[in-house]
Amino acid sequence: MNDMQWAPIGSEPVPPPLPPTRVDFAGDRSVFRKMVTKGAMLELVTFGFYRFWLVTDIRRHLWSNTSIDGDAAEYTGRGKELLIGFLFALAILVPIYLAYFLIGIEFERWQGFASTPLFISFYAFGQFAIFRARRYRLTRTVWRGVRFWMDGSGWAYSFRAMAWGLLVFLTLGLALPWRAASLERYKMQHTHYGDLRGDFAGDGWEFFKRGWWLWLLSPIALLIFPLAPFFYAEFKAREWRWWLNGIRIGGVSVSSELPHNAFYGLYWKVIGWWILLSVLFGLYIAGVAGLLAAAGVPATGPDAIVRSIPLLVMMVIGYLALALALNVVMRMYLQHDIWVKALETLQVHDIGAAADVQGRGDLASALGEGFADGLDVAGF
Amino acid sequence: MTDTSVEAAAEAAKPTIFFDGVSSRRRQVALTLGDALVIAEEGGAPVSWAYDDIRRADSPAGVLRLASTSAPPLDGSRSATSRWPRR
Repeated sequence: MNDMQWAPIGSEPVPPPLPPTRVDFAGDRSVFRKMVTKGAMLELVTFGFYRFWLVTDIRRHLWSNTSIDGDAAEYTGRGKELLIGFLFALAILVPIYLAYFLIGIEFERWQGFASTPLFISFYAFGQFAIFRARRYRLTRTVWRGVRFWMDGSGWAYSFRAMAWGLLVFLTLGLALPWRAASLERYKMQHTHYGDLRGDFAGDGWEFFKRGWWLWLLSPIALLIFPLAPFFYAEFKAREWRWWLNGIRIGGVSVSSELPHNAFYGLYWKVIGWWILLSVLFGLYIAGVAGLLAAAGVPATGPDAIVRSIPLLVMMVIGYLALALALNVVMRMYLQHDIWVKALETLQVHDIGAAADVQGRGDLASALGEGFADGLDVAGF
Repeated sequence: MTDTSVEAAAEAAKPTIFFDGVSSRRRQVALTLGDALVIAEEGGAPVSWAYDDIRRADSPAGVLRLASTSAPPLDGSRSATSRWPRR
């Protein structure tokens, strides 16, 4: 045998690799709760326009309380940017919506599926919006004074998403893991932190192995309703863990030990709140109708439409309150709590590779996020 | 490897950390309040921030983080961050 295990005299032993770094979340849950509750009320009185500022505040809270290697991130986006992005998107989308509506009506007369191409073009627009919205958020994310940024093309991404979407459709969902891996690879390879380039190490086969049996059992969940939240929570936890494990930025890598049952409680709490709020809404409607009847405003008779206006107004207000209360519940459990749970089990390896990164890249506009709002496709 | 020793010291004394917005390097600095806020790193040229340009930036509880609007404009208005423990 040779003596390779002997180090030459005078050389330093190779230092052991640094232990992985944890990601700490220092946010106060009650502060977040008050913020989203107040935000929902302001949304109610501003016809929803406050949402741009609320979304910004939510991100500022989550980002600035998340510390990697002792330094917290910062979100530098502002509500005004989102509003302007939304208005721009609206100016582009409203004429398209109108044209879609009119052409759709005209074409349906002759052929049942004539508006399908238009539906597909909206899907393409939605995928474009997802990519551009992500770019906006990343360029507003700063850590240690250096920004994240993105290159790549929103339309190239949209084309990929469409092609993979077709394959998923044809394989009844079986191709979903490979679609997710391919799209995530595209997004991460066009993600940069200063002069470090991102990558995605997860592959479709790995995701498939983690979740194929859920795909197989999903018809059962459709038949037995109470199983569906378990299945969905199980799927989401597996998806998150797979996604987090694949993230690479330069030499920095991430690993996650997220338990498969991490989200069961969260989804059931959302369902519990949903049932409770629906019951309250039902009682409110019954109460309003009863009060109006007692006050001598029956919703029948010759001018029934005029007489039913008070009831309609009260119903709309009640409905908006219900929708906003549900928003609070979803933001608490599905944004804040999922964020915290995902971070709790996260480890960052070789953070030293990001110790001296040079800043690069330009800011992106919020137009993409505006499209995402206009088409109602929400990213994280 | 030198990073870890700086980190250890950081925990003990809670020093002021400065990011110049050009690089992600953590710089341990001393602050002096004069005509402007002077940020001095040992062995480096001091940076001064006019008080009018200083803004509060988002930070976790227990940390005060400031940014200057006149710092090298790599990402628009803010690029340099300094922080020290809040009293």
